[in-house]
Amino acid sequence: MVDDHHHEEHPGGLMRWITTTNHKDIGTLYLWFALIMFFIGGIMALIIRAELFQPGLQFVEPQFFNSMTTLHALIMIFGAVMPAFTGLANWLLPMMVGAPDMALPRLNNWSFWLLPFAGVMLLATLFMPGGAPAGGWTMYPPLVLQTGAAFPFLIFSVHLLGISSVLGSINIIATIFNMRAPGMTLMKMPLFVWTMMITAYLLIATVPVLAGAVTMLLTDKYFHTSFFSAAGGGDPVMFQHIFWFFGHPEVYILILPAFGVVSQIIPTFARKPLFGYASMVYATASIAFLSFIVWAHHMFTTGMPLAGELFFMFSTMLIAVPTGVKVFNWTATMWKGSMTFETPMLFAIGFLVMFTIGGFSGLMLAIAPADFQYHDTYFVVAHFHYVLVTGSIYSLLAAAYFWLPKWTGNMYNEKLGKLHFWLSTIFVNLTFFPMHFTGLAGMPRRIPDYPMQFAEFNMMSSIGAFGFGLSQLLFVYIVLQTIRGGRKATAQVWEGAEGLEWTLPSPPPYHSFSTPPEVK
Amino acid sequence: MAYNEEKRNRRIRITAISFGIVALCFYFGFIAIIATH
Repeated sequence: MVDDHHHEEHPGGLMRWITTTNHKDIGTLYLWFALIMFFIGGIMALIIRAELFQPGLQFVEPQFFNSMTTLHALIMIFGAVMPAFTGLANWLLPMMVGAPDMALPRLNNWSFWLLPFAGVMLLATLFMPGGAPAGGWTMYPPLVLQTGAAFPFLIFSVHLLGISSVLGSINIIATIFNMRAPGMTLMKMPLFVWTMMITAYLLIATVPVLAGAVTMLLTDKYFHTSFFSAAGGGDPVMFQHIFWFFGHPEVYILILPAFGVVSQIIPTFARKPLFGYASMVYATASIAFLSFIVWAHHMFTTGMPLAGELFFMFSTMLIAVPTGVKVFNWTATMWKGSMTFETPMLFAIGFLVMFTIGGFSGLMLAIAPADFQYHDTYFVVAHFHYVLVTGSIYSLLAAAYFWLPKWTGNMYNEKLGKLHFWLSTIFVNLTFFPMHFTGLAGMPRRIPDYPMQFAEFNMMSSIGAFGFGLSQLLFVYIVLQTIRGGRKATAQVWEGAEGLEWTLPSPPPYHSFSTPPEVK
Repeated sequence: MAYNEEKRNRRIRITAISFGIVALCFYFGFIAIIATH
């Protein structure tokens, strides 16, 4: 349990980080871990794009290419984006709700330290007999059962990542329910707190299902069960149903906190309160609910009954309603605001425009008969990268610039920040926009070679990918420069910033609110 | 204050254990349902 009688002394050096139970330290650990994994996953993406720069096989074996697509996805989802949002939650939730720390600080330490072991275990599969997993991040049987010695390590790694997520979620919920300052009612909480709470619910409901599914894969391979083996009376398509019952809410686990971040940033730089706060909360909850009843839209081509196709098509389209509410609310917040365009706002507006592009291509994919054409093509790759890169990653970059002065006490270099935004935005579109065209023309995903007709667009995507990757080195430089020094930040940092975290000095004290603030 | 802190810590413990049980039920329950299906 959290101890209110805090003292400022704590171990220094390496032991500080290993034994820490402080929410800021653990938040920092999560964020650095996520950034490292982002670059490891990014290098894998660049190996993929280098191979696809030209038709034919140039650099890597097809098996290794497939391992890259598989690990890139697993690392970016479980190693980069999810831990990054948990890092933000650790740093910000106690400060936003007026608490001294997270509710369960020791559990918090354990949640984090499971991650490096899981990550190393996953990466170690690259050096195992039979190579790293190569059947796609979705781990569909029977293909995934052909994985060599890496298989149990893949499964155990997913288990560890899942345990970490569930423990982190329990901590987030326990903190929000029990640690709010007097007067901080649920409907007074910042939107980021709301989105993290709903995300935590989604994680607790779905990650155990994934863990169950991969446990069944493990017993199918090593203990002669036949959950997913047709020869033994099982059904491989059932795995797909179970996986996507987890997998679709997972998509919202990756994007709801992004909605929360953007809902904090846009009002600050528009210098207006968020338009439609209550509708934002209800829209988030609606999206979370709907995310549980749309999973089979990933499986339109598996031969479902017509009624199933129709149900999942319409329920998927329904998600556009609460998502539209959010997009219109953000736009209305900016309407007639006294707007300025600092780097966090640029990334937030970039999010708004490009996430919406990803949302629209998602609507196209939701149309079952059309999906028969799009399924497993680069159109799908374009869609989910618009949602996850220009959606989730852009919100994370916006968050980093927004709260970095609060975390470090120093302002970042605004010119370099803006340069980072424009380079990222040009290159990310150069990478992913042509994929819509290659996909519509029929280029399948997860292949190392392709016919000549796709050569030009693939070349553009590869140039864009290397440009985007290199642009992120600028981000690391800006972050390190800000940590080292710079113009001192005030407590409020941004003129339009509102909320409890901005009442604390920059950087905030080791324990945020030893005496709970009164919220009016 | 001491009483409130104790009460809050008990609430935190109950919240954490409840959600932990929910997660475990989802995991084992799910496997059990499919195993007996």
